[in-house]
Amino acid sequence: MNDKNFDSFKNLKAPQEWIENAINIPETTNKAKPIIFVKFSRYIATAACLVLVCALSLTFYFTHKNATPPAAHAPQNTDSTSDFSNNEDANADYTQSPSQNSNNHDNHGVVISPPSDGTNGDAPLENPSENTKPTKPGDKPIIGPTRPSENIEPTEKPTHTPTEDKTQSPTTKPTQRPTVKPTTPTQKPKPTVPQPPTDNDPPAAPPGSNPGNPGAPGAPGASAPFYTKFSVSVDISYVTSGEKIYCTIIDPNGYTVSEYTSAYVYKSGNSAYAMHELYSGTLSTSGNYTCYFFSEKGYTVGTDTAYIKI
Amino acid sequence: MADTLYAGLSFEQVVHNYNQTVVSVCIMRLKNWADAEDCFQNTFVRLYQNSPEIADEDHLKAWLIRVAINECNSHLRKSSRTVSLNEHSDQAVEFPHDQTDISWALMQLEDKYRDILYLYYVEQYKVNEIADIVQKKPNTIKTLLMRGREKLKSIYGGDCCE
Repeated sequence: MNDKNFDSFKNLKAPQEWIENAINIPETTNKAKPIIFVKFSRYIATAACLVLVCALSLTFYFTHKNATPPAAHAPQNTDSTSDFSNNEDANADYTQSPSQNSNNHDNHGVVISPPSDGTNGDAPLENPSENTKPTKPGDKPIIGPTRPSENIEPTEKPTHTPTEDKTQSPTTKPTQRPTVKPTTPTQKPKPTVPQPPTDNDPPAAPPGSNPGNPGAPGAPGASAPFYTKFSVSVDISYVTSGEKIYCTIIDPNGYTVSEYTSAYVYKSGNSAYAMHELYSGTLSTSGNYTCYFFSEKGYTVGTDTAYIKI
Repeated sequence: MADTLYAGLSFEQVVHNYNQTVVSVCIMRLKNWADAEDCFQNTFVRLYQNSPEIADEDHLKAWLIRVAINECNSHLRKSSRTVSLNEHSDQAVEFPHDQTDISWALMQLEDKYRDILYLYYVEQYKVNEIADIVQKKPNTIKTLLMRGREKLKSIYGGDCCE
C-alpha cells in the first residue's frame, strides 16, 4: 500500500455552482424563516377550531335557551311529533277519575270520564252549552284525521271541530277552569287522577319532563306555565303489556296541533293512566283543545279536553 | 445568524475551506454527482441551522464528515424505497483504473469498509478519531481496516481489475 495513493479523491473539487449555492444558504434560510409560523399553524388552526366550536355551542345554547326542546317534555316514548304552543294561563289541566273509568276497558272503547266533583260546570267556559251536552257512553270519539284507528269509519270526516267532537265524545270534560293557578294544585276541587303528593307512592314523572313540571297529574306544583296536561284513565294492561298510547290534539278551529304523538303511560296503584303534555307557548288560538288517546292497535282509549287561554 | 462563527470561521469560509472534504465524502458514499450535490448542500444547511459549538477546525472537519456521512446514509435509506431513474445515468462517478491511484478500487468496496479506509488513508485520521466519527469501538475500526485492506488488495491486484 506504500506505493498506492488515493489522489483522485483528494483532487475532487466541488463545482463552483455547489459552492455558490452553499454560500447562499444563509440568505435562503433567512427568507424561509416565516416557515416557522407554518410549523405552528396547525396549533393555531386547532385553537381556532376549538374557539369556533365553543362559540357555536354557546350561540346555539343561548338561542335555544328559552325554547324547551320537545324531547324534554315528551312522554316516555320520544317519537313525539307534537307542535308546541303558548298559553301562560295553562291552568286547564285536569284529568279524569280513574275509578270511574276503570270499568270501560274491556271493549277497548271509550273511557268515560265524567266530572269528578260536579263543580266543573261552575267554571267559566267559552262555550258552556257545548261542553255541558251529555254524551252517550260507549261512543267512539272522533280523533285526528290520521289516527290509525280500526274503529273509525271511513265515512267520518277526518277533521272535526272540537265542539263537534265533544258532543260525540263521552270522555269530554264539560268544563274547564282556566283561572286556577297551576302553582296551587291543591286548590283544585278534586283531582281525579292519583294524587301522589299526599300519598307515599307518587307516580313517576315522565323521563323527559322538566323539574317544574312533575308530569303526573295532580302533583304539587303540577304544571309549569305553558304546559297543559291531557290525561285519561286506561286499562292497566297497557302498562303491563307495554303497548303504546298515542294521542292527537285538535285545536278549537279543528286543526291538528299534535298528531300521533306518544303519550306517557304510567301506573298508580291498581289504575293506569295515559298522559300527554301540550306545550302551549306558541299557540295562537284560545279555546278548547281536545286530545284523543288511542292505543297502538288503533282503539280509542279516551278523550280529554282543556281550555287554553292565550 | 449570518455572523455566526464556526471555530473562528465564517460560514462562507467554512464552505470554501471544507467543500472538497464534503464532496469527497459524498462521492465516496453515493458514487453519484447528483445525489452528492443534495447531500453536499444538506450538510452545510445543517451546519448553518444547527450552529454547533465547535472548538477548533479539526473538530469542525470531523463534524462535517460525520454529518455528511449521515446525510448520505439518509439519502441511501430514502432512495432504497424508490427506483431511481438515474441509476445508469452519466452522473455516476467513475475513477480511472490506475496502478498507483487506487481510488477506483476503493469505490468497489463494501460501504462499511469503504468509509473506514477512506477516513484512514484519504483523510488521514487515526483509529480513535475514526471511532469517534463513525461512533464505533476502536477495535471494530481496526478489524474493519484489516479486512478492508485485504479486500482492497484483492480488488486492485486480482483478476477482476485487470
